[in-house]
Amino acid sequence: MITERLSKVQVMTITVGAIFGVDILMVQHYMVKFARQDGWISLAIGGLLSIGFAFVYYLLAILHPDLDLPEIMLKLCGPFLGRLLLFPIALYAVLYAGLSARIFAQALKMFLLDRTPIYAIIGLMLVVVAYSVYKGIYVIGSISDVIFPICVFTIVSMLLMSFQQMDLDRLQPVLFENTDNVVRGIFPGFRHFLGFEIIAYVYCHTYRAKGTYKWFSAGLLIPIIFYVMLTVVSIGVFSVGSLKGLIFPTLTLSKSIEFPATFLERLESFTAVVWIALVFESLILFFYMSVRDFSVLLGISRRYDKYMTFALIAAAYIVSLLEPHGIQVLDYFLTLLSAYTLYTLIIIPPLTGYALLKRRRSKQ
Amino acid sequence: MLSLLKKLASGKKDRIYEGTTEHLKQFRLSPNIGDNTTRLLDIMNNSFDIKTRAFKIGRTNTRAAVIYISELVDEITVNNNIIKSLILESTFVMDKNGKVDLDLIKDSMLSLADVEETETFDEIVLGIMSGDTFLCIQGFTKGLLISARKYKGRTVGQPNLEPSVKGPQEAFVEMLSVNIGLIRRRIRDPNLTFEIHKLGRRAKADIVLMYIKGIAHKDLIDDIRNKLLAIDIDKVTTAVEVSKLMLDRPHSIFPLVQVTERPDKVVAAMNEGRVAMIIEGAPDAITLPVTLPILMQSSDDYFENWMAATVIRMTRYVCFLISVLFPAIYISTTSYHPGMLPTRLVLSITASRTGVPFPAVLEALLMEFTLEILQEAGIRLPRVVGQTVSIVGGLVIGQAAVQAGVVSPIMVIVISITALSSFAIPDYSLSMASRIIRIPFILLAVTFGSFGIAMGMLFLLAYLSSLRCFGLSYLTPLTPFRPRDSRDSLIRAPLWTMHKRPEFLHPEDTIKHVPPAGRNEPNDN
Repeated sequence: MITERLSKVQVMTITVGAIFGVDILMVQHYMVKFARQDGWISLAIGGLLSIGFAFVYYLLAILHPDLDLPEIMLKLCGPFLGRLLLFPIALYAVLYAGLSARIFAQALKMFLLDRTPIYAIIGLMLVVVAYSVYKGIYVIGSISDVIFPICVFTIVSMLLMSFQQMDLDRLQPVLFENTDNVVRGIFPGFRHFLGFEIIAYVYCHTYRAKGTYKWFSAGLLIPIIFYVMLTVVSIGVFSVGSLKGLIFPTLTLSKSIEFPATFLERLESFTAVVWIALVFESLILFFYMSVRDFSVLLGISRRYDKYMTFALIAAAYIVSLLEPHGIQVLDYFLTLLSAYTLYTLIIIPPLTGYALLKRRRSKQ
Repeated sequence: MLSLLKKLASGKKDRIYEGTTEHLKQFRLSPNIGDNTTRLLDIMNNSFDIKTRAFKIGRTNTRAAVIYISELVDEITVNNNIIKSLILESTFVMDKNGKVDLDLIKDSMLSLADVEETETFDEIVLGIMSGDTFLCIQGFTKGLLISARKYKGRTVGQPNLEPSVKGPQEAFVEMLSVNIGLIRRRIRDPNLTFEIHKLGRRAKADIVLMYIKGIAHKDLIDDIRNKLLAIDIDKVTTAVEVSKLMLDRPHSIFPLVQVTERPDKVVAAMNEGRVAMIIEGAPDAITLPVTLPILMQSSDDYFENWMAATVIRMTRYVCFLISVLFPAIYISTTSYHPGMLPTRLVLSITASRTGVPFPAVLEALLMEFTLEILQEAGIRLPRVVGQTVSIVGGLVIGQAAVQAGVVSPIMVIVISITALSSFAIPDYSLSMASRIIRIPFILLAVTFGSFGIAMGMLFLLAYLSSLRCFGLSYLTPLTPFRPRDSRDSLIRAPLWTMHKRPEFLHPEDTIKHVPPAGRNEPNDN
């Protein structure tokens, strides 16, 4: 009876969900490493630059409203070259999902489940991820819709409650003899906002109504605001020196909030539920991307692509458990983000330019 | 070969079903009424409740007979308006040649509203089984099916499962005609449509599809009708049973239809653009399509001030969460994250658990099992004894179990609050679903702590998001979020702000009422 499509609001919530990921737990740590107390400035600039790049993807998507990114690549570059260019993107999505599942499982083990084995945590998480991805993009859209307000409420509450512990002096001096570091931190800041490419996968499932780009822009801005605020608050609460030693400062921040003489003295278990939801959402979106990528790569039709989920979940599970050392996994994760950012910066803008040129020629 | 393979793959088999009246279509009435009555009695296995009365029309030698089921007809009407008329007032039915005229009998003699000509045995048998009286006359190959139905049943009473504080106090009964009357009385709209269908190869139950033409979307009506007509079953007794055969996800734990015994609820549903179904012999109706927020609504919400109604509705959502999660959260907090609780509370919980030989999870499962036994026993036993069971079970056994050290007092409190919360859910099937999914959450909590609960919730969210009822997402209008429709979901906004029908149902007539001009204060109920 009803033709199902993603709404404009869902475009926003999905974009937010794809950008927020395991990065939310550790973005402050890495930004401070690069630009010390000015890490938030690098992050803000990186975020604003990511908006520009995100709109390159958006343009590519609206030029091909019935296709998603892997299909567009095959259409523009032909079956062989298209598959060749698509393969690293497909591989990235699986590796990202596997590594971020591992990092999150480590964080949970460290803060909540010290006796539970990592393979069990990842296993449970991936089973639920597989179920959600198997159910399709509209179910994913609904999940994003529900998770979004809960997460926004929790993050805002956490930030507000942390203000009383903040020391603004720890943010000073601003940009004093630190400009080089700030500039060097822009690229690492930029890569924390990866995930916006989801628009090129979901645009073909939207109503394509006027004003979709506004909701997409909101979806890009919200993570920038929250990441920058989290970095500012974390620097104010922990100081630069301490922050460098904290791998997951967001979890430490939520643990530091106390309500003496109330029914619950600490809320880290409840806030953990929100982090779990955020990482989960990011995982399902990345899995969705990888399912689409590999399905197009292998020539599997849309009707049967959901079965690809199980193969990719198994692959991600193996990836997540390959490296025994936790710290090494973090390095792999950041290297992966950097490599992918560079790759897409090289591939996607020329591809969009070519698509524009092709459109212009066909109009003439 | 290909068709055979297709048939094998689809698992369908060509079957000739026994017990249906389809095969009787080939048999037509004979001019001899003796043959006709014998054949009819044979078809209906000479059951004792099938009455036949043979007589002569007036002073002629033309013989006639009526056949009916005594428990389904008003015998006084049959005697006075059919038999008596034919025996005594037969001059009206003679034509100029002194012969009996069937058309004249039908048009001028039988003072009953519903009289139909018939000639095949399938129609006759079905008519008699439905409560019609069959009249056949010697020499005619046509007969008359006369409706003189009178079903015996209880009178309209109060709703048992969905009581209301302020609203109407009428509930459906087992008689279709009475139920239809209850709805007709509330909507005096000529567009209110009742489509009657026969369902069940053997039962041939009357099932009525109800909607308001011009409000309910045509595609929705067609979809429901097509699915209804596609059902191939020998017997159905309730509309819920029918709905299970129509839904895409019949195995869903969550109810995908709204079952109600309240006519006012059916009327409200149809007025929004939904479709209802009611079946002969069942004291409830179902409304389609349904979403989770619809199931959380209660009739009382609309008889109270909007602020009170909103608070009550939100309380219900909280109760749903408590019903599903509370024991799991208790187990997870005490087993994995006791640091979250104030020290004095942790000590108090620990002290209350001293001497209890079981771990918290076993305690919880034991209490859950006891609670289920109590609820089941309470339903099965007569109402007076049921209350005694509740008192004995709830108070005496609970107290004794605590004193014996089998369970801790805090666990009794946790399970009691959980049980009370499940009773606050307005839809019984939804409440049942919350009871079932509570157990996996307890197991997840004991295995993975709050992480397990979070994953369980996310799985539940994915499951709920994947449910569809006639193309409608189960979480509509919460997701996909529809700001206008959400005024009657988590909250209940003032009625004057809800002047349009729910958008997600795609009603043909969108305007429910015109908001009063210049209305800017929510002082309306």
